[in-house]
Amino acid sequence: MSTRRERSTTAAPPPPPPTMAGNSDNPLSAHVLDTTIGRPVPGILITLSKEENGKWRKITEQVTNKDGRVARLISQAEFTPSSYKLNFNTKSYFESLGQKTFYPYIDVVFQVEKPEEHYHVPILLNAYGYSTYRGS
Amino acid sequence: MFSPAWSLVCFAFFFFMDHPIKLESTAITEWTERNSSQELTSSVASIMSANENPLTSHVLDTAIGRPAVGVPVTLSKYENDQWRNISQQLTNSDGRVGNMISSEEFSSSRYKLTFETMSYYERRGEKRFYPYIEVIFEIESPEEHYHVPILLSAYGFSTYRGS
Repeated sequence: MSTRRERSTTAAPPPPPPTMAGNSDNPLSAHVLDTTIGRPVPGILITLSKEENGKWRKITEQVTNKDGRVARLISQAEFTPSSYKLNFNTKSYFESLGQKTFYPYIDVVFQVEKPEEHYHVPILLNAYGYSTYRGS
Repeated sequence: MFSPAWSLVCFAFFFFMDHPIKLESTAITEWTERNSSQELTSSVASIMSANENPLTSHVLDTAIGRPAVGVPVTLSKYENDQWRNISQQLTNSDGRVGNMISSEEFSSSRYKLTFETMSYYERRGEKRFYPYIEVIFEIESPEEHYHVPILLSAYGFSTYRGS
């Protein structure tokens, strides 16, 4: 049984691992999936608004890509603790399929308390139902 | 053992035993004819056409598997490019609201249900992601019953068109 003496090192300590902060200027993303067919939904217009002084101010609008995703909806600098609203123009998608839907559009209003974290707000979509959750 | 007399007794026994079964099936036929399908259809139709409570809702807290009691639910109708409040109710002990709109007012249109879920979580001392939840939907067949529930948790929810 030999004891092992730890060697001291004179080398510089390794850099700390990358943290969640500083989200590469992409603190908020969204995603739309059609769970009826198990596929992402491209081409959905998504509008982000921020609540300021009791009113909604439009920040940006983007169209979901082929993976059903949008990103870089807002800069880190503008992404302060506040209420935000994502509007998903889902009816146009079902119209393009020749299908009816219960919802003319979907609004999701949420509160950001820790803007240093990444927020992901997806919609799992059907013509007559949907769900959403806070992802990361 | 198989004397003619015995055979006659057996025959008579089974013959007369058969009669109650025949009588019963006759009675069933007569009852069916008395309660005609036409009468049943008209009575069921009268119940279905009285769509006095055309829209209901329900809030369930799926994190605890219980109804969400005391959640304010506001119904609005889209008219002349703006939302008009129709009614506001609190979810009852089953997490339900009903009688939000009369069948006369429940026309083909766009409606919004606003669930003030923040107060529910504040009472529970819990954080939540959504200050409120809005579900906007379009009614095409107001003669049908529409049920628009929320399955709720602090960091997610789902909704669907029920009946």
